[in-house]
Amino acid sequence: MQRRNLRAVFAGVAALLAGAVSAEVPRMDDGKPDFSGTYDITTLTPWQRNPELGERKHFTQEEADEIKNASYGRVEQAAAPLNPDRAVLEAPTGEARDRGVDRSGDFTPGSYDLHWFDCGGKQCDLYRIDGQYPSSVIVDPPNGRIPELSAAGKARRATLLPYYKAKYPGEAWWLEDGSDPYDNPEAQSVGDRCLYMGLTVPSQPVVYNNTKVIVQSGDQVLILTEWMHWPRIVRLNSEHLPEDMRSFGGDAIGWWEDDTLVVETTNFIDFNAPHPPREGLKVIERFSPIDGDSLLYAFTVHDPDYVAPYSGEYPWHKSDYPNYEYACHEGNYSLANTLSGARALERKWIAEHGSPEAGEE
Amino acid sequence: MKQSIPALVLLVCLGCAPAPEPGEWQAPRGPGGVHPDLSGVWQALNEANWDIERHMARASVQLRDGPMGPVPSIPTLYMGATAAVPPSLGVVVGGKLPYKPEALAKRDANRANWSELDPEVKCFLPGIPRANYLPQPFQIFQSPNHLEFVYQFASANRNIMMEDPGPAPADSWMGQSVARWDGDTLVIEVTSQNDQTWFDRAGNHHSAAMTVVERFTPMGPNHLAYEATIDDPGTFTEPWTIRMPLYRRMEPNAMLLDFKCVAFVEELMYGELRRHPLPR
Repeated sequence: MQRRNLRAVFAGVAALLAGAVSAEVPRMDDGKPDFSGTYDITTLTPWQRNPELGERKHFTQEEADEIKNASYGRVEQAAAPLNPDRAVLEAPTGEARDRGVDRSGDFTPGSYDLHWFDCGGKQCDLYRIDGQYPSSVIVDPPNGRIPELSAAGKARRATLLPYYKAKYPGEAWWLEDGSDPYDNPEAQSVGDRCLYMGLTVPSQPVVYNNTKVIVQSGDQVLILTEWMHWPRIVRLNSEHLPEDMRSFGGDAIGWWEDDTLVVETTNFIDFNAPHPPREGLKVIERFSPIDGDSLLYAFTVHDPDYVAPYSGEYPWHKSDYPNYEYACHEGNYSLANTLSGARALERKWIAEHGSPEAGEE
Repeated sequence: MKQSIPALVLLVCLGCAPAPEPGEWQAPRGPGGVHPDLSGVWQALNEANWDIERHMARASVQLRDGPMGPVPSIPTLYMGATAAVPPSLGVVVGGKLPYKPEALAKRDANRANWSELDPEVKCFLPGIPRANYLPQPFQIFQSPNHLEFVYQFASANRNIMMEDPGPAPADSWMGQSVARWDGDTLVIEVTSQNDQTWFDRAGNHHSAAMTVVERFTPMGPNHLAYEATIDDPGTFTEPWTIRMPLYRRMEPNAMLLDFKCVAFVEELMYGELRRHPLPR
């Protein structure tokens, strides 16, 4: 922890030496930094390091340029007119069908156009700390990777709903193997259900809706995530709620260590229905001033699902871009369509094959 | 204080909150030392979310015709007295809403089909002003230059912009809130709300052209006077105003907790699409 504190100080000193301080750190009446404001945490820096880089902590300038240029290239490509003569996608058969597809697979049209993603609407960059481009947000373990699952983590995950790799979407394939991926709304992802994005604690840069709002208000600090309109309320110098009071976002308390706001979050529940408690999961976050326009966000995740804790850090930069309403549930046609589509495919399958034998009650 | 209120005001709007009289009480300054401190956990204590208009008690929030007068609808039947509407002299100044005839007919149809149509039932974002008098607390966060409202219901929230950015790029459920200080009163103009939210469980509704001007005035260490003037010429013949006090939650451990009701309504909204639907 002390190391992270020092890192923030070094970042501030480095910025000073470089003459890059654009604004003084605003202060509250009690002298503590006032982080209140709107931040945009969009970045091209990867969450985990490319394994090929080993323990190399930074990209070279050339590597950083390459990543940036590739991003710009994708934007350009996405903005180009579509080919009206493009052939209709063929339905896969044989081995290709069995291989299945996922979101980036061969047989799905993908999601919406890149324009709608944060790095499709503007020129994204990698962030720099101390003048260098980190090669991952994760900085510990030294390989910049999330640690392996622990035995306890594997055992716990075996008790949860299995992850179903979506297969060719034109058939009720689950009637063949007796699985039940689309039987119930609760079995869909928390994202598809408009409940949560599992990227809030610790905060993780994502494809869009990267806006954060901080408002420090007396002995409470609001950290608002735009995606899924998710307010976290940090109670300063308080105690955690009893263990039976749990939520996706957990229970957050905080305190100041010099100029660093430390937030400790526990009392999580699992993302998978029926959302059992996440015993032992604790996240420590540290918000340290860099200058008036930026803070350094650092975190350590203590998760018994993994063999070791892991830590990361990246800057949050203030933005003029306001926080917008993320009304997901109100327009969630997807969940109803997923379920009703599955029912339609089941009717078709049963008409062709008869009633399924496996997996039926 | 109550003795100083003119009797006429009491007649027009019993229970409505008058602004504090000058010199009576000075609200402590908030962070930055200029404006009053509005921060804290607040909640309305009234029947407005059932029906903002003056009304007698009714047997259910949704009624149907019975052999000898209205009886609870099938969707609310098994809730018994817990779905009955408590009486109120109303929070609307003057007691009743100045509906245009066709808008009044829509209100009545909304009320008759409450369980299907009220956005609160589906855990949709509640809109303004309703968010402020839902039967759950909300919290005002205030730093020297920033204000944010967070509501326990559905984790709804609103940025309070102190500078007008111009018209919002699109309508939304909670709208765009642009604020200014008028003395110790926080005045918020809310625009660009869509037409999907209601004022209450009684089917009172509005169009997307509605503007709401809210006034939050400290009237004591633990009370805010809340006033909202609604202007929606497509729905109403004239602007109208609601008034009510908002109370500080006094528990030493008062805080917002999780009420992420989206998951709570999945059986209602999607249950019939299960592979094996439960009985209804």
